[in-house]
Amino acid sequence: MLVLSRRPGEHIAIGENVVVRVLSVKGDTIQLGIEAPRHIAVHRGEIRAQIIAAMEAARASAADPAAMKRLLESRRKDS
Amino acid sequence: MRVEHPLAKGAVVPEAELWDFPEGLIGVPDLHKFAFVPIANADPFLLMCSADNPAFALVVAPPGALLSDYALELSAQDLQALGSFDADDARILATVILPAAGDRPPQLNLRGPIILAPRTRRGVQRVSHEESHGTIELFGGASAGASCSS
Repeated sequence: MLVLSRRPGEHIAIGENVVVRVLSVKGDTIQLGIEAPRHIAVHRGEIRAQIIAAMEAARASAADPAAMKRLLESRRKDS
Repeated sequence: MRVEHPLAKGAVVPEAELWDFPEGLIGVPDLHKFAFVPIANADPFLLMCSADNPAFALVVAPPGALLSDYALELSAQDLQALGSFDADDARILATVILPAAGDRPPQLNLRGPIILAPRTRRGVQRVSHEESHGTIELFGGASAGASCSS
């Protein structure tokens, strides 16, 4: 892993089109500004991890032949 | 493509009816072709199956059919990725975590909606930054995240 030290106002260039700028540092919070082409998705890491975990849980649950029956039973009880 | 998953009961999906996901899915960027197969007696739930990896399948559902107050605003970037510039055409699906044994209710993940453009048969998965779009429990279960109003 490349490790760089930056001060507020300084930036890091990634390739030709991505710039990560340090906007401010307050306590243990660093505010970053990210400039990237529209086709590059930029998300908080924990949100992406949450979606991947939910996708894996959905995939694992779909492999259980009885799970869909349980869903339909939940719906029947709720209606 | 013949779908061997038990929920699809051997359904055959013609090549022309597959959906193209140029970017793949979040965390699964290498899968690009998917079929959406109705599950018998389980409308509006669908089985989303990969044509690239037959072992990859999960259940999805349109949040708007299950939640009265669901809304998702599509960006120009979304529409561009779909090759469609008419947001009214788009169909939105969310992944479903089916219930394990016990009393835990099924869950719907609103954080990573799947957006389909029927005209181009393209799909993308996006991150919803809407604060209320978390994972919610269906059919009377308590919310696992925030409420789903928007």
